[in-house]
Amino acid sequence: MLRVLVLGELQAEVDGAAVAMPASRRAWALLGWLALHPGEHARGAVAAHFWPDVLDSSARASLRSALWELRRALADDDALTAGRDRLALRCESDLAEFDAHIAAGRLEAAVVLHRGALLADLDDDWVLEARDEHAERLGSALARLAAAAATPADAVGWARRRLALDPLDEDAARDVMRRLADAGDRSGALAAYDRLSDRLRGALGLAPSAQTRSLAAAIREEGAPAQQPPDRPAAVGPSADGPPLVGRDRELAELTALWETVQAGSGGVAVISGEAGIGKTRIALELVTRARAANARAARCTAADLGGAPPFAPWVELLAGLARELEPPAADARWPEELARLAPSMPLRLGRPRVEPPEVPSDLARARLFEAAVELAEHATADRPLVLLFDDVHLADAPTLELAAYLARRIERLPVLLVLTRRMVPRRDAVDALAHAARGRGVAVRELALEPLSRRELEALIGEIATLAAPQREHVVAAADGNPLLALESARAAARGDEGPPASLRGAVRAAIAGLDEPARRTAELAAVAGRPLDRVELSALAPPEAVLAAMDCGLFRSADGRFGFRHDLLREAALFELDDARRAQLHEALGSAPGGRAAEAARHLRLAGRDDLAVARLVEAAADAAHATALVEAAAYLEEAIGLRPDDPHVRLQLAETLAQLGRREGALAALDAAVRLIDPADAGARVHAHLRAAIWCRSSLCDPARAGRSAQLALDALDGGGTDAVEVRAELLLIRAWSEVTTLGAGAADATLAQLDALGLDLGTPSLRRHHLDNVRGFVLLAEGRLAEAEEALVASGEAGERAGRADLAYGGWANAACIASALGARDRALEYAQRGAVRISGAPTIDFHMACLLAYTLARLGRHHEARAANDHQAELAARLASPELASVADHDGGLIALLAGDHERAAELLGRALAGDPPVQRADARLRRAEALARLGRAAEADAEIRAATLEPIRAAHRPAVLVARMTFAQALSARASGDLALAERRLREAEGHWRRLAGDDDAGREHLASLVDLGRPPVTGVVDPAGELERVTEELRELEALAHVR
Amino acid sequence: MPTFDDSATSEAPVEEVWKLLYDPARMVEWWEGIERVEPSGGGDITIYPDGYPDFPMPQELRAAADGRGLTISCLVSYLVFEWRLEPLEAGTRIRVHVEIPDEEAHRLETQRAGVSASLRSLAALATATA
Repeated sequence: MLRVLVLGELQAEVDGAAVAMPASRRAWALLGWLALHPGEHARGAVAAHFWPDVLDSSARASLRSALWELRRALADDDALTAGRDRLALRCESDLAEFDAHIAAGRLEAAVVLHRGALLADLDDDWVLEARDEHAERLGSALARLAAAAATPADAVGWARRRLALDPLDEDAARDVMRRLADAGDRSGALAAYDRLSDRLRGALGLAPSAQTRSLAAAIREEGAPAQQPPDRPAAVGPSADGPPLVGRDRELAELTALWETVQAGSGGVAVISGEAGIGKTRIALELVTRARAANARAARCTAADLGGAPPFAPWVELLAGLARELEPPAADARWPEELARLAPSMPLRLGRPRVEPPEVPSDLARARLFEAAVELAEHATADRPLVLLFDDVHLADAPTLELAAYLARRIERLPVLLVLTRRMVPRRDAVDALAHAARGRGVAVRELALEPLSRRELEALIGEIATLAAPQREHVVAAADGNPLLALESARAAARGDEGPPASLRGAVRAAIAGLDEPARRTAELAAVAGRPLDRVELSALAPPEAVLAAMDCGLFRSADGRFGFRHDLLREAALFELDDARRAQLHEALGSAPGGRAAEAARHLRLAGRDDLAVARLVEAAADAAHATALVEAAAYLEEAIGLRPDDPHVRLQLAETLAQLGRREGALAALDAAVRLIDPADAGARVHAHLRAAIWCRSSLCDPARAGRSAQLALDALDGGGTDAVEVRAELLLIRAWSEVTTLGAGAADATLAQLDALGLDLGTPSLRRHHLDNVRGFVLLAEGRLAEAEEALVASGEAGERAGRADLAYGGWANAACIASALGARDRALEYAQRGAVRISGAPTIDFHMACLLAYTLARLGRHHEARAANDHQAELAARLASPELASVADHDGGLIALLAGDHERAAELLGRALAGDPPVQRADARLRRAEALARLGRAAEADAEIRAATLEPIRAAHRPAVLVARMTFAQALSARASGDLALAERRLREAEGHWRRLAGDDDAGREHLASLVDLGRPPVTGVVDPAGELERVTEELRELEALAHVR
Repeated sequence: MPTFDDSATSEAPVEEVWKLLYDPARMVEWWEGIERVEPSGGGDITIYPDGYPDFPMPQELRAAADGRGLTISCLVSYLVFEWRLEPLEAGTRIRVHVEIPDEEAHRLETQRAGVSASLRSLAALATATA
């Protein structure tokens, strides 16, 4: 058995004998990568990962040769599996052992495996990233060991080992300081602080953060304040680190009142607006500082003025900050892994192994991600309140505000305070919508507009920072025009002795930077062009420490929490304005070419530097990051931009096609696909198979377009045959898609030959679970098309179970809902309910899936006459729609509620809810909804309104899947009820006889299976409320006729 | 490809015409030259022409492109009939647009006459049943 050791220099052994490093260093690195990433990998993806800058064919050739070398070095035939499309390494590794120990809580056993930095002898980008991640996990384990140590001395030992992993890690340094103070060694704690200060200043030119300085001060003054939980700041006076706060008493009182509400257990939102430099961030930080002093958790993020920050960038910053303050959640919590879509190190920071969330459709992934943010808030507030500060949200990307709004709607009963600061320009309606929606959900909202300071207040502010002569003070006050930032900067400049106070902020900034030497000036300019504070890793790659130190001396900068940047964004803007185009381009290229970093930002810098040739690869990378973070709109925009720069690249176009398909943009997706296929080398059969296979998959899933999916599957099969090669797994997948297409578009018998070919492949079709799901689904559909409903039901149940096993709530839902619909059509309402309930219990999905499960449950219960429970399930639908702030789902919930009310005989509610639903644009059969509403209105005696609704139904779009014959029957019945409401009993009877005839004919049809399939394709989901029961309808008509007869008799 | 349009006005309200148009079972009552209609699944139908009880002609029923009309396509001859209804203050205007493939172009005049008769028959039947 191959064993690979990665926790130090890379080593390998086969059955205890050491493996010699092959001649190719790339092959050796590949071994390390495969050991770090267990499981199967697409060959193309691995090739692109290791050789990103060459053509696909060259990358694949290089991969082949590296694999050949590796196989020769390993001399173990079983270890490395490399087929045409996939490759995998079967091995044991010390990293897997480490993970297992951590998962089992055996922390000491885990940390003892550490021999040195992960893959210490390799230095590729991916290694650095993995090394950082592992160091985080190891650090987290050591921190937990320190917290659980039996003696203070042991705790110091573990904390020191943690600090040794990264001597610049302020969290770790604070832990050492606290542990030493706990052990009674105050001088040791302060010496640790001094060493940290020296290291930060020497290596990065930064000062320790306010949090660390406060802790040192507290140790110096009080002795041992370290009884507090780890990573919580020491108690400090309630004053933020920054310029003095003057003239904001009223606003601060309002915010404090809101904070008190939050402390009492209810959520709050504060929106602080005002012009640049007016003091928004300052007052927000004051609130955060006071909250921290009152034992709250807090985290902060800032939207960047770069025009290229990746989606969710502020959340990434926020989560990184918050993770440091959290206790590890329960082992069965899944939110850290979901949030890893945004902050990959989140699970590691919480001491959990890295587990990728299952691949699910993007909308489901987003729903889970948003729910995970709520669960994080619940976890973070389990023992104290939480403040989250979103600074400068006027610059935030749309997904950031969507997630903030989602959280804001869910904190009604959580002690969470969201603080948002913004300028009024550019206008962001999403911020107003957030506040409005939060208020609508019962969350306390305060909106504060900061006004300019009065003359007296400005004078007080200036007096806090400088002593100026009266004429100078007068000049500063006049120039500031009520703006505290302008006043401060002008006062500082005047106090420095600059020749006369500068007339503007730009003048102040120009004067401050003018005195710097070239390296320091370049550092300042890099900070201006970066658009946001730089962290220490970024900074160390861009500027020498002495240059950072020199730049700090000019007074424009601030270093806090390991980040270096301008004290205010207005200062940065002023510095940026001073740069000419050539200098800017040079700086942008330096920023865009720096190692690591965010791909989206790097791409934007490279484009601003005029280096479009380098920007394409980073744009593609940015798109992948955005798609992983569920920001598909942004991913598509990056890809479109990349295509504009490199129009002949089929891979980028293919990626765009898939992204657009996931967004439901059918025409765009198909156009991008066609363009990509035209650009693929006709001789490259592998690339054509890959392209058509991907298209077939998204045509089946995202677009629900069986005809196009079948065509793409066939093209892929043709390319497979034409290429003279075979990949049996790929062929099986393609045959399954073709069979699905055939049965849904052509009906019974059409998929027989394809299914026979699938059987002939000789594969175990029962595994993996995903394939099993698709196979059972196709079998179910074939049986439906053949009218063998009972057998179809069985197959669809199996498909639901396989979907569950595959971890795909969306697919499992389809199985259970289809089975329930078929059971309903067979008259087995109890069984339908059983499926609905099993689905609801077993599928732990996201609100979108839960919504559809609730719909299924509600309607099934209603048909069983269990109206009270049906109403509760429908209420849950409405709650989920509100939680998702989805007008479409709210309309669907109204529609379903209307049908349920109609079944319950609550006609008033039915008419109201259906009317509300029809005012929106829900994906329901509108003509059917109008006719049901007409029925409710007629039963309420409102004949004229019923007639209007009947007429309106004739103008609604009708598709074959809507079963026009059913609509005709419903319309006739509604007309009968309306006639009776008008007192025209003869007409009522005539219509009822007519309706009776319609339903009798429909009851004789044996076509439920095919109708179900048609509806499924039309709606893209099971027709839960569209299940027609002609026998039941006939019974209703007969009942009406009996009543009418009795009525006529009485008259 | 030959095409033609025709229209008629019925005194019946739009819902009465709508019910006749969308009910395959009643098609035989107004569509000239049809002896029998059978449902053939997925909302589609099969018609049997007058005098040819053993000659099935499957028809595909689909929404018109904007979803506000009914398109009936013959899967044997590939003739396409697109029906549209427009409510009037008193009554309904019925319009039909017919497309005939080139191979069937010789049937243009026969179809024109047949469709015209069907149109008027539909209008009259709706008035009678209203």
